[in-house]
Amino acid sequence: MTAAVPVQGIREDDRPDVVLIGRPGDRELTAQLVGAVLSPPPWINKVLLVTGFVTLILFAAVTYTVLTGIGVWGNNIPVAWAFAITNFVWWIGIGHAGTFISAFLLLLEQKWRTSINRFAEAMTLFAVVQAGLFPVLHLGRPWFFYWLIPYPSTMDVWPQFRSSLPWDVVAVSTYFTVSLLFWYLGCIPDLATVRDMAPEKWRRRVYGFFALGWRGTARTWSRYRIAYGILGGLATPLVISVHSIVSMDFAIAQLPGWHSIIFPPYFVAGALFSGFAMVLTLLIPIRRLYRLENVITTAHLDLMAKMILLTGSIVAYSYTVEIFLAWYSGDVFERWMHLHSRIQGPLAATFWIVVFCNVLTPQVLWFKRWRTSPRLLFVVTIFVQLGMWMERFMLIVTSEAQDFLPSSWRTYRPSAIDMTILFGTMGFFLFLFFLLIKYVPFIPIAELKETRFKIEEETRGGPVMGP
Amino acid sequence: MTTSDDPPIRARRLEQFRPEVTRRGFMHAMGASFGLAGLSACVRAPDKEILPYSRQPPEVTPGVAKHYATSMSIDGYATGLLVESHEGRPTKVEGNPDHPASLGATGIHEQGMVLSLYDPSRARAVARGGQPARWAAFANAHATMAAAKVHFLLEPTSSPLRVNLIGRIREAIPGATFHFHAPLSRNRAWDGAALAFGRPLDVRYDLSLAKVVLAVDRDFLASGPGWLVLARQFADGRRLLGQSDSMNRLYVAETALTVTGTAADHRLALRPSQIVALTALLAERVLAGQRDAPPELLGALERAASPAREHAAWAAAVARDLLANRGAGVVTVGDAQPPAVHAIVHAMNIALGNVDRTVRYAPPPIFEAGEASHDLGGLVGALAAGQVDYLAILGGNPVYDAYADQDLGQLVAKARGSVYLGPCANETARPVDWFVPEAHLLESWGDGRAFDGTVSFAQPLIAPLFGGRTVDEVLAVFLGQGAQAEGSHALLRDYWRGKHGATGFDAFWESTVRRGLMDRTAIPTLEQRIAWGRLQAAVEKLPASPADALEIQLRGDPRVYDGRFANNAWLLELPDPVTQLSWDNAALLSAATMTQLGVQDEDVLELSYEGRSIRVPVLAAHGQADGSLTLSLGYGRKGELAVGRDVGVNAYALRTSLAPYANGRIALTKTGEQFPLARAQLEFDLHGREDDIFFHESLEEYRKDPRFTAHKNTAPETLYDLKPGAPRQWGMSIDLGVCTGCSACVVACQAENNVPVVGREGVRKGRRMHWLRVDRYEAGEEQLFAEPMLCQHCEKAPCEYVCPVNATNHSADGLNQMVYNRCVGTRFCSNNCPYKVRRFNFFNYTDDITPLERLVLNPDVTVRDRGVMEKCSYCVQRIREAEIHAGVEARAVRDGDIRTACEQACPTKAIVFGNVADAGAEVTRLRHADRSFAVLNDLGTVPRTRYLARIRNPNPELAR
Amino acid sequence: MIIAEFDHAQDIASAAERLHESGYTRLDAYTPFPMPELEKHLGIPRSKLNVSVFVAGVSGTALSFLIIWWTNAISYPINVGGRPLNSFVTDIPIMFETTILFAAATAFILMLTLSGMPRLWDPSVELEGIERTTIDRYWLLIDPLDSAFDPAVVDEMRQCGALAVRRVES
Repeated sequence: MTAAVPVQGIREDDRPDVVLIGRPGDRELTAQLVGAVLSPPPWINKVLLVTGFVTLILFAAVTYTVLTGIGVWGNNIPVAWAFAITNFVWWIGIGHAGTFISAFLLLLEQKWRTSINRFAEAMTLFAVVQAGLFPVLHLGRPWFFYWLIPYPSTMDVWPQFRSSLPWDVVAVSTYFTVSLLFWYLGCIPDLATVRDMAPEKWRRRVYGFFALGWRGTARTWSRYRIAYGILGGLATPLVISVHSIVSMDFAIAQLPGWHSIIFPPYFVAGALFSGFAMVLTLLIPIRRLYRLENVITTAHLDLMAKMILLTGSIVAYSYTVEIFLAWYSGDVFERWMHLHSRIQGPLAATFWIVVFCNVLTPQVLWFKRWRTSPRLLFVVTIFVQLGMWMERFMLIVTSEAQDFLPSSWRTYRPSAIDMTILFGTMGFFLFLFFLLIKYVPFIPIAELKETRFKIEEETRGGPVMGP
Repeated sequence: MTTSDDPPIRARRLEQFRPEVTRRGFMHAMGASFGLAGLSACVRAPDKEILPYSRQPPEVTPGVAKHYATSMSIDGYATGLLVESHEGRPTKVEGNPDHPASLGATGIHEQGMVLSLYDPSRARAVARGGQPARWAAFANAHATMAAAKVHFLLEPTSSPLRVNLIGRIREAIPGATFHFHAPLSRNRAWDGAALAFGRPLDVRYDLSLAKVVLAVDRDFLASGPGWLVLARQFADGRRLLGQSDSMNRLYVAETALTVTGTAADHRLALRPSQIVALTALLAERVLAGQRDAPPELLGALERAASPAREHAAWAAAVARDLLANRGAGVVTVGDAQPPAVHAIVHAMNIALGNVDRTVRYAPPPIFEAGEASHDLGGLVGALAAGQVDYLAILGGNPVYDAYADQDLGQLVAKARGSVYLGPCANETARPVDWFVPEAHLLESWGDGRAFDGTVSFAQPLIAPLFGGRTVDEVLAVFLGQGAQAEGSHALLRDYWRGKHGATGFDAFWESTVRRGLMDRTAIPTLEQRIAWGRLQAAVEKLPASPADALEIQLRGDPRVYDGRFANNAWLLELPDPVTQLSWDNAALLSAATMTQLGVQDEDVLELSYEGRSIRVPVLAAHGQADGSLTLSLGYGRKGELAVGRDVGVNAYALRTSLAPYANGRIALTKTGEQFPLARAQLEFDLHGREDDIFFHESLEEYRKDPRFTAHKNTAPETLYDLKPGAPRQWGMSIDLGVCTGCSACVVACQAENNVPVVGREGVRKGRRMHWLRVDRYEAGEEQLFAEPMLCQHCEKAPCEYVCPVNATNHSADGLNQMVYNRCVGTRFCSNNCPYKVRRFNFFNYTDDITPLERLVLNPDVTVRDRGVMEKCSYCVQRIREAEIHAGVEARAVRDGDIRTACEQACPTKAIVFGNVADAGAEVTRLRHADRSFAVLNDLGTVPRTRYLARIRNPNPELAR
Repeated sequence: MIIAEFDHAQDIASAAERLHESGYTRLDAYTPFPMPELEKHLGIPRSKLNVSVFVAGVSGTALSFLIIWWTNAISYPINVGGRPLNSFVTDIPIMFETTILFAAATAFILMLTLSGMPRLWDPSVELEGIERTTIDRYWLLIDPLDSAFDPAVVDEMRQCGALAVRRVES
């Protein structure tokens, strides 16, 4: 049985308050979701081919950079950080929405979280993989990246922990590890399900191996629930802390435009903003292609759109506060940065793109009609991601470009390699992502059954209300 | 330019003169010199005994550098130098403190000279008709020329030995004719003196007594004979130590802004033609009261002055100031000005009673100065008439830098035979029959005279790397002495034995060579009477200024001078002291003129004159006179130059014997093309940050409130109190009041610290590596301030706490130290450095330099790898060396023991380094003096480098 | 060992409830998704996981602080930007991260090991039809050795809606 089988009765009760449409039985539900893995649609191989090719280009550009030196990038003095760090912050920010959905909404017992959490969590992992490339790659001598880790060396020298960069190392690696554990723990029962449904022996073997011998006895389930809850509880503050620490890469410096106390919350909001956008960007087409409108309903789109509107408003507020503080401080350097350099300097275009994408575009989401229209949402999310990348670029580059001594002012122009690496990581990200949805049930089967059961308990019959 | 631009010929010459410098090929060529890099001493040591500047153990102590005195002549004027030698390998040049033309200081050219020694473009073999030949063959072929009409073309010389050789050749070869050529010759100055006094004379100034200085188109703070001394005296005349101190005042009238112009209290930007008029106007005012000045002269001056009437007020005020300071003023004029202007200026100095006080006259040390032999016209005529049997071009590069209308390149072929003694296969090497590689100064024995006539010796620090010969050696060949092996050493020794007499000669020789100069050999000054009549006649003939056409000024370049340094990577990478333009030259225009012409920075203009044209990019220049275009000579070199080939454009193509310095008839067309210029600084506006970055105040205001910078000289409150460190705490003080921005410190730093060169693209991308840069800031129309910026060695260094691997941290004696081996290259330190003095190795910049070029590296300083950060270290290698010496002598380090490279080179002593924990130290006194401040003090970085505010001394009459 | 197989979560829940009321203690179940109330009826105590996780977290905090303090203030003390050798404030971010890391890792590892995972084989695999317990079947396991055991339980289960009740040798 494949995913192509239409599920009955979608249209009539597809309402923005319904998180699970119809009353599919265990078998029906399982079949639909496992089907996506057991008999994946043919187009997915083409997609993997294309994205895989882009990934190869990325690796080529990276190799060239490491062999030649980062002089092949556009960086200079004063703009010593540019694309690499922009991409790092952007990617890691995107990851955050995944954790937020899977962990934070778990604690809040939001039913609508169920169908999308694994998907979002996987997005997190792959976004962090992309992000992780850059801090290493942007080093002058990447082969010595491990000097940021305290290990006993003959020279008896250690990392310098007052710098925010070792914080980054710990934060990002912790974030990746915890996300991975959290995600994998959630996968185990479903891998067992695939194992038990798979017709071919090799599949049973492979999925059996990764299912770690899961049998779903009541005792295992009870430990599982506790552990899953704990991980969720840990991941929630983690996600806040990680982007706060990332923001400190700038906040602990004294550059005008970096040295700002509002950075941590400002960055976290921005991260969720771009993250939710990315979830939707991926979700909307997948939902269509796999005919999952019954489990990923309009309600999901609506709720996510609301999150985008919320986080977007926080971001917009942060912009205002930043500019106000600069003016209010009376500091000549801060004032120049925020009142001249950014809004009318050589890179002013980025500022205005940011305002358009991050402040104006989300306003359309005030209207339910637009929140529930997949096409429009898709467009909006693309804008949001462009805007957030530009925002990181603006924060990083304009501050460096015109700091204290005018004599060293200089603008920045990216090189072809810079561009290749940026778009290369996007290809790499999609490659990993489609690998996932080809081989792993990307909608949590067990959890969905559980949700369905709970809902039945609450409302005997009738269309399911939620969240 | 000539036929040999076509590839095959060039290729052949390339093989002939510049065998490819691969590692193996090079080993083959001069494997022996590799001993230098190691510890085995003196492998390439000169074969004759050379003598260190001060007594040292005779044997070479590995790791301990020695200094040898020598002297460098530019256009015949010698400057005494001390050259640092590591195991027989010269690496660094300093000034000779005993030498009257140096006083221990150096300029960018002296500093850069050592790099030319290891220039991979240097010719490696004697050649005949393009084929390698032997020196002996050359010597024999030229030993018998007694009958021939031999023409010698030399650079102007003051060398007693050379003069002696010339005399002997004239006897031995009756048909011998000598010509002296320098593109930036002093002929006009000498003619001016001849006009005024009846004989060519040099002017010697004593600025230490001057209260008012007027410089007319004269960049005396950065060029010309004895400029190092003038700069020192000028600085001493305005170095304020307290509010009671007096201060001299400088007026400058010039076309393009020069280093001197930036130091001026009042500056007038004039088109070349107006400068003549302004001088006349000033003279008219000054001479008005002069008894013996004939009234007709005043009339003539008045007529000549008419084009400058608009500046009457300025002239009047300056004249009043000069007259008010009779005997304590100086009027000086540049070599580019016509003889009549020089004469007028002499008259002014006499009228002002400055003569015998601040101004003196003496015969030039240059041989046959002001005589016909210094005019290339004679040789050109002879060549054109086909009366030249043999042409010997010894030194210089006349085919490149002779006047375009003289077209020497073609004429040389008309000689029946020719030889060129030159450094490399350059423009002049093409048309000649014989080529002899010229020995570098640091490979040569020789002598010369300083601007005041003091005899200065040159001794080699290393045996000729490529069998180069000196001019004297080649001259000796024509005396039939070419075969003798001793070469220049014997020539010099024999000559001076003859002069001194055999008795006690060895002692005399030793002391002279050791100290590099001969005492009591200065040329005495002479009383002079001015010939008013001749002066008046000359003034009558002064040309009326042309119409409003754009006037083009051709000038010697601040960096490559007349082109002789155009293959020197250090000097090409050095940003122009005023425009901050690196590598190429550009057509400098004022902003107003640019809008008038409808061009913008980097637009390419075509300038054409008499059928020759060049295409040159435009650059807006602060302080440029409206309606003028200034173009530097010395670029656009051809020939086999590893670095300088086709860098910039060759302005000599527009330079004719009739209009050598200024020309109003050059046609100018827009090409619509663009050429990317490598500008090291893009923003010159302070954006109202004076109090954070650059304090400047008028003398008047300063006297009212001498401590006006105090609030920026004290660290803000902090939570973390500073721990008392070691007994010695290093710090620096830079006096912005006397810093002229000549940039000698930048090149000195580059040479001392193995600072790599990044090339035009590197500079354009903003990746220059200079540890010490000179920032320029505009203040109003007239002022352009210089601020040397280097690592401030902050006690609360923002770069340190952001380094994740402890690669930059603080030493106990207060140095912000950079641990290259530990650096992983996050560049966070650079981001967080508010002074942006940190430099990053975006590529491996020292990997692709040839083994020959490596020889210039200072073994006391690490060569940095790709991907690491670097910056000023306060010359830590010098600090440690001094501490070790002090330890060996069981004494404390004394104030002045340690001098950083920048401090040592500085002509005006603007930079002072020392132990700020020592209350008696000079640097401590300056840090706590009035007008001392910390740049960006409010950031709380507590910099160890402090600055002294710049005080201007405007004339109240002119001050707006 | 008696296995009662259900095809509805509600049925197994109510069945387990009845057995619980009639005093059964040695019960277990296989279900496709977690059912907290079922666990209640089976008398499974709440796991003590959280205690060990807390301990691990705290040790993570302590360890990272010790490393930072020892390396920067004791082992290699050097003046960095004039800051104190032991700048506690700047230690906090890392201390927080390591807390989370240690806690999370412990929770994951304990969950698996206490459940005897990973294991590639165990006897239950041999039971016929067990694969459906991860899909749409709910098994209730009753131990004949249970003190409250009554052979009539088989019919009882059927009444509760069991599709089949089997006796297997364990």
